[in-house]
Amino acid sequence: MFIGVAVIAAVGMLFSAKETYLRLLNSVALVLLTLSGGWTIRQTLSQGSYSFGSGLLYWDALSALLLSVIIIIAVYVILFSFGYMEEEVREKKLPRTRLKWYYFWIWTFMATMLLVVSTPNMGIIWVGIEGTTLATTLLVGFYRNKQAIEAAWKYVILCVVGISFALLGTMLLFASVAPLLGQTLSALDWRMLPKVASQLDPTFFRLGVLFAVVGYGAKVGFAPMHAWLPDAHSQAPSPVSALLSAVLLNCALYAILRWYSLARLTTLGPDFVGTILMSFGFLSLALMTGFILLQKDIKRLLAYSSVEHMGILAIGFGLGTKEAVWGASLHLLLHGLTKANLFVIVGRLVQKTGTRQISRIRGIFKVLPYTGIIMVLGLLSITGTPPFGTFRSEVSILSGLFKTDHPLLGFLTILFLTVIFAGFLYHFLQMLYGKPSSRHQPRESASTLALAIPLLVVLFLGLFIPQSLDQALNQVVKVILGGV
Amino acid sequence: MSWWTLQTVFVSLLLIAEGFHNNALEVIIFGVLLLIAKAGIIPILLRRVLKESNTEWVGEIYLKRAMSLIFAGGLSLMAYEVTQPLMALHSGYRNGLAVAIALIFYGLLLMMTRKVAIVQVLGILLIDNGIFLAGFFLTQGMPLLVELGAAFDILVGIVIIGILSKQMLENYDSLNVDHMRSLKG
Repeated sequence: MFIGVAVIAAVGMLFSAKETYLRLLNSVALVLLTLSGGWTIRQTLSQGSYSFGSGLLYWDALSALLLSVIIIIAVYVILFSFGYMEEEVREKKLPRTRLKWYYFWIWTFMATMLLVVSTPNMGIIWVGIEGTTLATTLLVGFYRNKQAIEAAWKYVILCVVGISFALLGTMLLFASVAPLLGQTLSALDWRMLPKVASQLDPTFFRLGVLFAVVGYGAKVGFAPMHAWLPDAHSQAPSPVSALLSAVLLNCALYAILRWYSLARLTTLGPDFVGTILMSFGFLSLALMTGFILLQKDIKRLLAYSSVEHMGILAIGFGLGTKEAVWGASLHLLLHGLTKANLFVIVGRLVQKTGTRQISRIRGIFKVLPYTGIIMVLGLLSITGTPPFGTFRSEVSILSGLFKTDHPLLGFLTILFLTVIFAGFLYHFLQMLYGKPSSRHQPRESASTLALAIPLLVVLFLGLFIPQSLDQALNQVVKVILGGV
Repeated sequence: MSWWTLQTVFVSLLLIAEGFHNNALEVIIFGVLLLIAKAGIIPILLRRVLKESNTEWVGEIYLKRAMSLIFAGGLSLMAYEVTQPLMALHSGYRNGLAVAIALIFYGLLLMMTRKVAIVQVLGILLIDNGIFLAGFFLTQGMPLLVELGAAFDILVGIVIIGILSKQMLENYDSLNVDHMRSLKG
């Protein structure tokens, strides 16, 4: 139903580019999306699972987690889009008629992501993930200048090739399942697969799961395949960067998690895919440390930080203990909130100062005090400083590492996180203090502080985890670990 | 490029033949749709972009022709080697699967060694054909809904890449990917 809302909204955006029309239509669509999505999440969490249209769409706790991340961040980012994109039009960076295409692609993007988390079929998940790539390509290249087109080109080529490997993986899965469940659509249904998991042909399945993890991994941005990510995230309009970083990466990770929870039940044993995920995660974390320290462009800084956090998530999920997976699930939500907020506030900053270079942004506290406050909050949250929720989730993953006899990995992870903290602190302090460039003296009102809502939620979750959230996360753990 | 079209025609015909063989109407319909989309729409689109670009083909290559032939031969051998463990199960399909995997490798080779953006697209299409062929030999057809979705995605993907390469032409006056080196670090 909310997929329908997104599709109708996407088509509706094309009729007019008037400000009032777009605002009204977007608001209506967001309200409908929140209502139908919220209802679905509630049903899913209270009953353990929920299906719609005779099982064609199906949600369990893991899908519900992703669904809530998508909806919360979409509402926040699209509301921010109104002001941001109007400002871009006012500054003559974009003609007004392009706005309707902007919202069209945003809502198409939403529809494909909602499809990914709503279908119980591994094949349709693939179709959806490929759809997200296509829907975002023209958003990445939206400014149509040289750099934007270069980023979009890299993005579409690398991701399409990466994801075609995931298709090959899905076919191999189908080849190993078809003799057991028949040549029907339900053979790729992740509700049916666990029942036959122990009989799957190991040769086919091993090859298939490798292709799938590497293929979707390219889309998540795991370390050797991350080349497209900083380009795409830095060149896209800032609200789009926020959506890419905070939601899209999680959706691709969700596809991997479905494979992962299936692979745990096969004869390959629970650790086969877990080890691959941990290697990718660790490599991402290690490589990104260097990139973050030496970064000159603030949006690229945030993009590399996304790769780093995907690495942390991969370590947590790959470890496969209850505590670590719990932490990773929480971290998925919290990283999404934090990163969306940071991209939004940095996008605003870049718009006001007219540059993305860290060295040319100085004295934020003097010129834009409220933005400065939010950036401090964002800095503390993204680096996992107590009392923010990200500290809690990272500690949970780390203690999982130490408890499962990986003390060296645990130690190195802490080391990298510390260095990354230092890097962020260095870059942010430079921007916050110092002498502002005299060219721009924009004023801002206290209402800017409303943009900090996601960060305040993260702060709140660091101090106190409501019981309902804890229960939901425990359900997610159960889904991923297969009833352990 | 016309070679690719021909190849696609054959892959689609294979699918249609399989449909007749099994009396499965949906497979036949899907094969016909694939034929129209991939042998009809995509080549026309790509030609149009190419005509506008006036691409110079000389010197737009990283690897000499003879060298790339040797590489391609090596990759074919590798494809046979890779499919070895799978063949114990489907001995009748060995050659088909090896050819499919080889196609995927050629696609990757093409993408890495050529500088013209459109040729990279051709590489993607080659990989795509290889995957469809592999899927055909592995599974005798995926569920229809998934196949339709995948084919639709590829078609939309090519349209979007077409739009993108037009914008690239407006900005760079060329489709050579060597110009795109500004984003680093």
